Amino acid sequence: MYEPAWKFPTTALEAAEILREAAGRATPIAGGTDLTARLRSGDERPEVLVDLAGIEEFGGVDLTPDPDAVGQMTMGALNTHGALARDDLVRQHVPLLAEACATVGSPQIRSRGTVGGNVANASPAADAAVALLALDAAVRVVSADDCEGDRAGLPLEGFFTGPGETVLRDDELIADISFDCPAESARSLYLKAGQRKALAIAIVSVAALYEPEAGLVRIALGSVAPTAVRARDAENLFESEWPAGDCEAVIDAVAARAVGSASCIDDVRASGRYRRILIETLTRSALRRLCLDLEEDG
Amino acid sequence: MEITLTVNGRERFADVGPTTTLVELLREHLGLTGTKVGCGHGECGACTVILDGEPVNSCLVFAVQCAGREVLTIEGLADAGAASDSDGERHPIQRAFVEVGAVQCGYCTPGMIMSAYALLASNPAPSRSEIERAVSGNLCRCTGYVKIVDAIEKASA
Amino acid sequence: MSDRDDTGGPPEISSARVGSPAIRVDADDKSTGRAVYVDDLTFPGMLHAALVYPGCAHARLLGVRPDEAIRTPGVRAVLTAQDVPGENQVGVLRSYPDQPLLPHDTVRYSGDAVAIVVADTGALAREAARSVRVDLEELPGVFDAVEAMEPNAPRVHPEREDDDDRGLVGNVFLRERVRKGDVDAGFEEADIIVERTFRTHHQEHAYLEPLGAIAVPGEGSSVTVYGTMQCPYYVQKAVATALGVPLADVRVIQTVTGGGFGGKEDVPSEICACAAVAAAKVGKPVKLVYTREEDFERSSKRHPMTVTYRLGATIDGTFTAADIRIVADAGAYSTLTPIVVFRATAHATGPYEIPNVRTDAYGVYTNRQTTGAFRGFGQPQTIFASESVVDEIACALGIDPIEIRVRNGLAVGKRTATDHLLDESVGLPETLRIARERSGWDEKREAFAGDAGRVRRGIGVGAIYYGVSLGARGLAIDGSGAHVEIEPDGSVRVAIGGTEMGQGLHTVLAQIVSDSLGAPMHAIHIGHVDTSLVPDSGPSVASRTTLMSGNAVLDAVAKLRESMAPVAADVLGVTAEDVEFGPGRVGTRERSVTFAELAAECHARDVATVADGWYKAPVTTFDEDGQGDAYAVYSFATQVAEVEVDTETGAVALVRVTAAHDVGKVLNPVTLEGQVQGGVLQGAGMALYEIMKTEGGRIVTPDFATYILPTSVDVPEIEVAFVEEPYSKGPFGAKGIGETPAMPGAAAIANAVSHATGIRFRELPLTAERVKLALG
Repeated sequence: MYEPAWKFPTTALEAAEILREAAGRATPIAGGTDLTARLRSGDERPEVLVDLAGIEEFGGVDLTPDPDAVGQMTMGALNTHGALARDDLVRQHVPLLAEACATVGSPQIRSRGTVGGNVANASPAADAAVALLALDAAVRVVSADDCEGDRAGLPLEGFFTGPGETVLRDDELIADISFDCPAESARSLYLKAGQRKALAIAIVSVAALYEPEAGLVRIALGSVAPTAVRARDAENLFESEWPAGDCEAVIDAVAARAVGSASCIDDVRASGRYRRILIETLTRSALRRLCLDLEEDG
Repeated sequence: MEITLTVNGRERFADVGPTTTLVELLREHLGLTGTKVGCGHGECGACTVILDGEPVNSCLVFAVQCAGREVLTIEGLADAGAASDSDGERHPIQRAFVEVGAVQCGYCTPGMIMSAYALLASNPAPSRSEIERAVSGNLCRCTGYVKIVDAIEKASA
Repeated sequence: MSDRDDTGGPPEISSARVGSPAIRVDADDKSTGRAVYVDDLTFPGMLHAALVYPGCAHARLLGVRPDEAIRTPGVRAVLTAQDVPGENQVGVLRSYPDQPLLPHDTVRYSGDAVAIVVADTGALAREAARSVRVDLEELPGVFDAVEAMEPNAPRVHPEREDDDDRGLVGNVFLRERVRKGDVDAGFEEADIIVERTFRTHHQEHAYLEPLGAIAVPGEGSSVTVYGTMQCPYYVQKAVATALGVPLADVRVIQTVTGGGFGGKEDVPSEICACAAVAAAKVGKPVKLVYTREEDFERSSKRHPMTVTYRLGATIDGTFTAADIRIVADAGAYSTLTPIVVFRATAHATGPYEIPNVRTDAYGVYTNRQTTGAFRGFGQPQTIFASESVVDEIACALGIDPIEIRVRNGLAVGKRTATDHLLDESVGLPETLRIARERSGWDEKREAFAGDAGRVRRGIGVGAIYYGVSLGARGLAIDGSGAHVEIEPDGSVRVAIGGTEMGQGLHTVLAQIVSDSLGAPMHAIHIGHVDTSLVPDSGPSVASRTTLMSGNAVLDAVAKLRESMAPVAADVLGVTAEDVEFGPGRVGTRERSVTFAELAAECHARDVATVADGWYKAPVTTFDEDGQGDAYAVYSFATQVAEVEVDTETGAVALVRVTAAHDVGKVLNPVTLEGQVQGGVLQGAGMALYEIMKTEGGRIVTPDFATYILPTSVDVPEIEVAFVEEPYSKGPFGAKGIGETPAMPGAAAIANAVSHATGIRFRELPLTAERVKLALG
C-alpha cells in the first residue's frame, strides 16, 4: 500500500527545507482538491506530503498603497477561491479575479482549493490563473536557498510551460502572488463558457480588463492552448485603433485577432473549432460590455 | 498516525493511515455512516461536511489534515441547530426537507443538507438563486432540485 | 427558521388518505443519516472484493496471472471463471445465454471484469486487483451498431450461429416488428411524406448511490445477499445459478436503495453474484462496492438508437402511414435488449392512431458497455424521432403542432399501432389541452417566432404513451405478492415484493393500507424486500410497482377485513356488512373502535390477523406481426418546453417546462410532483448535456467532471399538472408514473430549439457546440 510520510511545517523556511531535503520526492499540498484524486488513483505517489496549511505567512490579502497609483495587491498562496471571491479588496479593485474565483468548481471546492494551488497546478483551464494573467501578476517563489524569495516577481506569463508544467523547481514553493491594481477607472470581467451553468470546467474562458484613460485592454484566455495565454496581438490592435470612430468594428477586429493567440485542441469537452468560435464570441462580448457598456442581447 | 479532532462537538481520537480521507475516518473509524460517498472525487457533493465552518467534500480532505480541527456531520446537525439537545431533535433544515418532500432516494440528502447549513450560517435569508448556487456542488438525480430549493427556502424563512 | 414553536422532533407522519399529500415514511431516516445503504452495513469478519479489468474492449483472454496479487499480505483469494461453482451465466434472460459472470475465453467490452480479488480491506483489494496480470490478444472491435450490421464487421459473439430465416445474422441477434394495415397504400393516400433519420446516444443513469453488494454465507450452501437493487428476485436467480444451489438457499434483502431509474434492474445481479461467489470461496461475508468509474463501466446505459422514421399525412394533417426502422446498440451482451426493443417497437409510432404501420427493429451487439433499462425503456429515443417528424409535418402543412397531435392522438375508441382498441383510461387529449393552456402555448408560439436578436426563444411539445407493466413480451412473472400482519397493539407489518428505490412506493402503499384497513399511517411498517417473506413478485420496473404491489396489498387487506369485520360488528353491536374501515377507526358513523382496539380484540379472540395477497396482471398479446393488446393499460403525457438559444455561443437555456401527466389517480400529490420534476430534469439532461463518450470502446467520460449532469442552477421553471383518467383495475384507479416524466422532454426540447432557430436537430444531445456549428 502507498504510505507517504506527512510533514506539517509552520514556516516557509521549514517547508522549503523539507522540500530541499526530499530532493524531488516530496510534494506540497494545500487544499488538495486536485492532488487528492491524483494520489488516490496512483497517478502520483510522492514519498512525502508537505501540508502547507499551517504556514501563516502564506495567507492574507494586502494592498500596498502607492501615491501615484492604486497600489500593489499581494495575496498569499493559501487564500482559497471562496475567500478571494468574497474579499472586499479583491471585489473592489479586481472584479475579474473575484468573478473567476467564484466560478471555480463548487462551493465545497472553493472552500479548499487555493490560488497558489490553482497557479501551481498549471491547468490551462485554471480560472484564477487566467484572471491573474490578465492582471500581469507575478509569483513570489521561495526555497531553502532563497527563503526571502528573491525569485520574487516571476511573471505569471512565462511561469506556465505546459499543461501541469511550470518553471517551479522541486524545492520551490509559491509564497504569494501580486500585481499592480488597475487604475480606479479600469473595468474588468471574467467570462466562462462551460458545459453547464455551474460546476463547470471552462471550454473557453476570457479574462478582460479595460483601462479607459490609457486606452488599452488586457485579455487572457483559458482552455485554448497548453497553458493559459495572453492575447497580445489583440491587445496591441486595440491599443493602436482605440479610441475609434466605429468602436464596434474595432472590437470585432480585436476579438477576431484574439483567436490567433490560441492553439486549440479537440478534447472531451469540445472541439478546437468550437473553441475558436467561442474565443471570438466571448472576447467580443467582454469588450462590448467593458468598453461600450453593451449587454449581451445585442 | 494518531490524530485528535472535534466531531459534532465531541473530541475524538483516531489512528488513521496516511492516505485515509476524512470521509473514511468518519464512516469507517467513527461509524458515522450518514455521510455518503457518491464519486470519490469531489464532483457530486454527497460527502459534504462542515470543516471549521466551511462546506468541504470530505473525500478530498485527508484525515491527518483535520487534526485539531472541527467537523460537523449530518449526525451532529440536530444539536447544532435545535433549541434543546435531547435525542430525537431535528434541525429546521431537516424538518423542512421532510415536510416539503425534498427527499427521494436520500443518498444526496445528508450532503445537500450540510451545504444548506453552510449557506444559512453565513446568509440566513438567501434568495432563491443564492440557494441554487449554494447547492450547485451537490448532485441529485431524483428530484430535479425544485423541492430541495423549496425546503431550504422554507428553513430560512 | 420556520416552525420554531415545534418541539423539534421528527415531523409527524399524518394519518393520510389516498390522494392526500402524506409525508414520506422514509424521509426522516434519510435526512438524519440513519437510513442504512449497503455500504453502511458491515458484518463480523467481513472481507472486501475488487474486480480486475481487461484494459481493452475486445480480446481473446489467454490467461489471468494472479501470483503477485496473491502474495500481497491481506489478500485472501483471487477468483476467475473456473472458480464459479455453478453455471457461469449471469444474463437476466435465460433465452439469451450469452453473458458469463466472469469471461473465460473472450473479453467483449472494457468493463468485462475477468477476476475477483478478495482482501481484508477495499483499498487493498483494489490495489491488488491492479497487480493481477491479464494476458490478452487484442481483437478488432466494433463500436457502432450500424457499422456492426455490415457483413464484414468484427463479430462480438462469433460462437452464435446465424439464423438466416429469422434474419439474425452476424451481430444482429434480435428482430421485432409491427405490421398493421397496408403501408404502401397508406403512403399512396398521403399528400405529404417526411422521412428522417435520428441518432441518440448512451445515457448514464447516474443514480447517486453506486452499485454494491454484501454476501453472507450461512448454514450449508445457503447465502444471504444484501444490496442496492430494483429486482431482488432477479438477484436471487442469478446468485442461485452462479452458486449452483436451489433458489430456497438464496435469501436476498434489498438495502435502502439510492436511486435506480432502470440502472438497478438487471445489473445488480452481476455484482451480487460476484460477491456471492467470492463469499462461498472464502467462507466469510464479502462486500463489493463499485467506485463511480466502475459503476460507469459496469452498469447498463440507455440504448443508442438510430431511428429512421417515415410518416405520411393528408393535407388536413391526418396520418395515413408510418414506416419505421430502429437499430439499437445492445453493447456486448443482450441483457434486457429484447424487452427494450419490444417496447420501442410496440410504441414506435408515438401516441397516434395510424391505420398503416410497418416497424422493423434490430438488436445489435457491439463492443461497448451493455445497454438496458433506463426510465422510458427504449421509448425516449423513438419519441425523439416520431415527435420531430410529427412537428415537421405540422409545420409543412401549416397546422399547429399541438393541433395535429390532438387530431391524430389516441383516445378511447381508437387503436394503437399494435391494433389495441383502447376502451378506458386514455388521458392524452386532456394532457394536450392542459399543457397547451398552462404553457401559454398559443401566444408564445407566435411571439417567439418573431425573435431576431442574439437570443432566440422557442417553444416545443412532446407527447407520449407508455404501456404500463411488462406487457406481452415480458419474460418475468407479471404477478406480485404482499404479506400483511397485524400485531396485537395495532401496528401493521407489510412485506411486499416491489422495491422502494426513492420513488416513494412505501409511502403510497402505507396510504393505501391506511385508507383501506383503517390503521393510522404511523402504525404501518413497510420493509424493504426480503425474498424469504414474499414470493417472486417480478421486477420493480415498467411503472408497475404501485399498480402491482398496491393491488397485492389490497388483496391481503380485503382478506383481513373479512376476518376482522365480524369481530368489530360483534363488539359494536352492528352488522358486519355495515362496518367500514378507516381512516384511524373501524365501525359505523355512530359507533366505532380504534384500529388498535380492534386488533387487540381480534388477538384476544384468536382471529387470524395475517393475510397474503396476490395480484396477477391481465393477459396481454403480441403476435409475430406485432399485433395484439400489447399492454393492459397505458399512461399518457404531454410536455411543453420553452428555450432560449444564444445564437453566438449556441448555448440552449431551458427556461420552462409544463408537464401534464395522466396517472389514472393521484395517490400522493407531493411525491408524485417530485417524481415528475426529477424526470423532467433527466429528460433535459438527455436533450442538452449528457453523453457518454468512448474511444476504442473505453469510456473517456467516466466521472461527474466529464459526464455532465444538470445541477441545481440548470433547472427550468417546472409546472406539473395531473390528469386523472381512472384505470378500472388499478389501486384506487392508479396506473404507472415512474417512466413517463423522463420521456417526452428530449423531444419537446428539440422541437423548441427548432422553433427558436429554424433548424432541425436529428442527433442528441443539443450541446452548445452542436447548436452553434449548425447555426454557422
